[in-house]
Amino acid sequence: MDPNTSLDDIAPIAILMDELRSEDVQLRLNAIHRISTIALALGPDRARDELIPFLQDSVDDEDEVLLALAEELGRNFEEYIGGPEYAHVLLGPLENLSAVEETLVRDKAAESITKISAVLSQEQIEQSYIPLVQRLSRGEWFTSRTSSCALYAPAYDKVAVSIQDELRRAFTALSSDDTPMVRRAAAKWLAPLVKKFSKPHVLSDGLVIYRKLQGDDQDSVRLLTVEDLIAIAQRLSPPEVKEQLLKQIRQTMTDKSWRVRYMAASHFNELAEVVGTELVREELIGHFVQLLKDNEAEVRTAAAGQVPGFSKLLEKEVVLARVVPCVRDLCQDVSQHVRAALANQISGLAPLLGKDATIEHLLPLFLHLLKDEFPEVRLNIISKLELVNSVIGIELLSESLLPAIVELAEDKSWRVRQAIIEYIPLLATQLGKPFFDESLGNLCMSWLGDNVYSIREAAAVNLKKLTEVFGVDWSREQIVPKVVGMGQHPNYLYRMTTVQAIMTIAPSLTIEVVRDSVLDMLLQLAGDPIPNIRFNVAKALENIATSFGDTAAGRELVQNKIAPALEALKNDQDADVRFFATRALGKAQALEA
Amino acid sequence: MSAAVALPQHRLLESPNSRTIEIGTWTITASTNPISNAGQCDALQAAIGGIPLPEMTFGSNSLELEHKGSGWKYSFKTEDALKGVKNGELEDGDGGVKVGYADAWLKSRTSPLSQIPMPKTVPTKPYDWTYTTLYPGHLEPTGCKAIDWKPAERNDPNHTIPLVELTRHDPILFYAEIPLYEDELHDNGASHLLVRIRVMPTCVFILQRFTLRVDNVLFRTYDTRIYHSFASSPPLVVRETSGWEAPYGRVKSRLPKRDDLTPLTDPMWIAKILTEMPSEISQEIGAGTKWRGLGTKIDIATLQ
Amino acid sequence: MPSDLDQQIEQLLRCEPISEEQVKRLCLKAREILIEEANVQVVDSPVTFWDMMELFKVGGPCPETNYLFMGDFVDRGFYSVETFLLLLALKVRYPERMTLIRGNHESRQITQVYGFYDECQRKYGSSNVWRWCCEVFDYLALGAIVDGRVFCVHGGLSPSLQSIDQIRTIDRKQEVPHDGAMCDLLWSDPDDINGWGLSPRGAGYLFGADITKMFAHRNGIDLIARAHQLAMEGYKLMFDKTIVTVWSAPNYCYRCGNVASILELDDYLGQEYKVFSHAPSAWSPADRKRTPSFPQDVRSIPAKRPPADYFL
Repeated sequence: MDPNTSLDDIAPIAILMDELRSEDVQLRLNAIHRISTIALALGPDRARDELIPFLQDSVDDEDEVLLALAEELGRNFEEYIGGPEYAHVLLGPLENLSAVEETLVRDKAAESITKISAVLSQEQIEQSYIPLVQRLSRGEWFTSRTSSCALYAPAYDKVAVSIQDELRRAFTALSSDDTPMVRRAAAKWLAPLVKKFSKPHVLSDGLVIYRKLQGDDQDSVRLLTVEDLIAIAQRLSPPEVKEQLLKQIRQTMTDKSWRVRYMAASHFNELAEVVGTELVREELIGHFVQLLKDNEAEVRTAAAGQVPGFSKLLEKEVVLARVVPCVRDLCQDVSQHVRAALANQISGLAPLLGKDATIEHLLPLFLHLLKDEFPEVRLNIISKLELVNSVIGIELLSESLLPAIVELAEDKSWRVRQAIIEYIPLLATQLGKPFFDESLGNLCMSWLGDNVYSIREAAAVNLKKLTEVFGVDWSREQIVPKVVGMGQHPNYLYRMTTVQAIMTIAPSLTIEVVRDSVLDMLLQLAGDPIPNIRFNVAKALENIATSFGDTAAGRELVQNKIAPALEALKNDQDADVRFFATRALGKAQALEA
Repeated sequence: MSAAVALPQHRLLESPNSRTIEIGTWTITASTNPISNAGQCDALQAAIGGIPLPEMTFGSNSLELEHKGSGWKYSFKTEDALKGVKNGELEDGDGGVKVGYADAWLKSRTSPLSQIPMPKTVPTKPYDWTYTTLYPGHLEPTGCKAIDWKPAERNDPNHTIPLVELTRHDPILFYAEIPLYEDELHDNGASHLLVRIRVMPTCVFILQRFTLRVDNVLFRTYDTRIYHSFASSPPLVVRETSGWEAPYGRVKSRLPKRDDLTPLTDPMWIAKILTEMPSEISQEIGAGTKWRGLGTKIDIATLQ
Repeated sequence: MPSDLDQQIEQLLRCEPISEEQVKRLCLKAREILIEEANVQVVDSPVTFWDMMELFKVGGPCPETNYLFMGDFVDRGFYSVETFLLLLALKVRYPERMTLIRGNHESRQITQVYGFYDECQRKYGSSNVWRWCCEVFDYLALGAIVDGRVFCVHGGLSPSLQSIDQIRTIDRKQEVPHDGAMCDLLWSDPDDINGWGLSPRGAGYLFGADITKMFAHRNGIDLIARAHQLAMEGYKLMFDKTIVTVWSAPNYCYRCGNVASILELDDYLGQEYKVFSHAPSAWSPADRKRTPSFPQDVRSIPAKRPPADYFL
């Protein structure tokens, strides 16, 4: 140590120690979050020689404090102790943290060790990291053995072949540990490790470990092996999968614990994609049908989510013969979660089945789900209709679905109404003007009077989009008069909607339409008794000024009509009206300049 | 270990608001619904004699057990639980209490020097505002015949709830939590009644727990446990009811962290503290309310 | 000033807490505004953050729509700090558009038991934010009157108050006392009795239809709007529609399955009750809770049902 060390230099670590000994957890927690600052003050040498050993000894605290310590040490802390060549020093305190009782702390410690491993050289790995992994793996208490499982994959491909052999042996031992928590960790971390094995070792070691875990008597272990199965299958050829994994696939799909079947169902497509078409056709289709019919709603929900993805791997005839009948049953499922999951996915079958089969088999199901008593089910169907549209064409879709859509436009759940509104511009594009005006025109206007604000807002946006679809002339005739007319309504909510709808639509209109058909109503509403209307008029005027201010006609409008109105509002008795009028005027004047 | 336990045949049925397991000769249904709406509340209030309902009354929730062999039907239902709440002036044994600051409040209104004298008040309906109930579930009258509960034989090992079997982590075939009611006592504490059930490969186990906290006054727990072993022959149901109570401060002093009061709102923690106290304190003296629920009692019913 | 505040409002609308320093300045500013307000200010109850977002979606954002919140801003949900600070920021930014009145939960004592204190500790690491917020609570108005005809209060009436003018004379800038008129305004409940009743809890008043109608008549009001009690349908009218309980917390405590409502008053004080349900579950409060007892490696299992537990 420098002989000239003054009291000031000692201060940071002394203060830290004091704070770490404080009665107050909060103070200790704050101290931990400041350790990088303290390390910086100490300089790399003293941080390494004094701070780290001190931290290593302070593993006797509230979990919250330990969690913070584990996290801080993983945040590139090596930069404060002299760079990567000293990074292995950090492993000391983290090793202790990997053995504590609280899972969150251990996980965070393992995560930080993994981060550090990325900056270690092969020498550091072999001399410091691997011995740490070995000590943890042989730990007396299950906590350290549990933590060790996460640490194999990050280093496996960075060490000599002989060490790799040892690592595989040690991991095999962990997978037969007496404590289920350790086996659970082994199951969780086997997948990333197998990805690093050479092909022969996948067959010689990976398979053995996996089979052992897959046959565990605890379902919490077995359910974690689904991802291992996928990782291993990925490394094997289809014939090898069939040869080596068929039995395990069968056991997993028909496990007596619903949690395992749930995991299998929710990862079904990932598995199907790596096992090859033969196995999909011979084996997986049968399991898939069973999962769709499972006793547990959670399993059916998960399987329903995989329907189009899995069907992509099948021939159309097989989809029709095997999957579609299940889908029909699921439409009537007692659990609304199952039906909602299905409604979200069922449209994905349309492109696979083609026009005729969609009309024959799916359309009735859509209509059925559109009438479901749970809004989420209805919502999911509507939001995916576009896919169906592209398959069967708008005419047929509108003919069969339009009545249902009109009914849903008045649904009591406002989110369903919103989903319908968002679908309207697309429908309009495909229906064309005359058909649209006749069947949906009034509906679009009625939403402006909805009692939910978000619907009124969506209705205005919809009118703007329709203006873009059908053109300004159409808008001037069909929309503008009705919107402006509402400005006379005795209820301020309608007048407010007029202002906000104008604000939304105006940028899509032309300056002529704004000048001749819209502006007078706004200027009239600038004198409304309700201040909220007046400041929204100011916002709308600002919007018009900025939208059209780049043309001569626009500037003229600003000068003659908009600016004088805003000048008047600037002196309003209400503070918010003054604020928004002043802001609008500022922007309008900036345009003129 | 789970491999050692053979899984018995059973069937699970589900609807949006209820779940059922059929196992052996038993059919067990747990119904969980939103809290009652105004119409249901009015009907329920009339049915229980007019006392104000708890803020959160899950009037349509229930747990129903049916033993097909004997026709025995036993249920836990909100309405019946609330019928166990004292309706009328509180008497000895009811364990009635007032809120912590009641004396100060009343004094400020009635002292001759008071600036805010009490107005003339009309009598309001007296009832136990803490919603304490000794309801241990009830026999459904629709069951084939009445099978009475009898006191357990002290020395019969079958007349107890076997902790060893219940601590074993056998697979849980059916699990449900069914809240019956909750009330925050107008921000003076909390009153909860929750039923939980787990059906295991070898047995059925139910815990109904009433938990009461009155801020700065007391804590109270009243548990009803029902246990039935599928192996019992003739079929036997064991029912244990226990009540504990302690002054507020005594429980509060057991907090793990001084300034974190959240455990005081956790029924599990409260029950743990109350049951860890010597029973002559928490089951005999209690909080000095002379509540008749203190103590433990085991009954049995033979289903044949 | 507005631009700073607008930024904080944006941030709070995303449910991100603002810094301790910003809270301090916001609370100071709020006190400056609130101190000028009368005890009785010229629509509502406990709200959780995401449900408040839902409320704004149904009723419209502030300042477009004027709002009056009838107390109990804190202690409920996982984000009551964000909820209260957002309301406060909107109050400071748009004082004329936002009215906040005090509920019985806006008190030091109650927030220490029911969670707001812990939440501040957890999110800011010290009790400063809680202390500043409590100071603001002391300045909140006790009631509000809309166009002279709708009287809003958190709890109800008090036997020591015959007129709204008497409320104006209360010295409100204090912790909610256990007795007196201020306590009654925040705690009392309407009940099916005649006259005044004493709560069976041993403290607090109940008031009947005659008392309510008399108060309305004497003060020339059409309606008393209050919060304080859960209403499964979102609102509950009593006593020939002279008093209404408005409840704006859907799916209370994340499990009641109730709907909530906003009372919307138009230009002519026409009443419309807008009923809404809880925000869809794009977020999950359970994620935020630490549940170390639940094996972390099975967290991908859906948690719709309570996890099975080997209770004894």
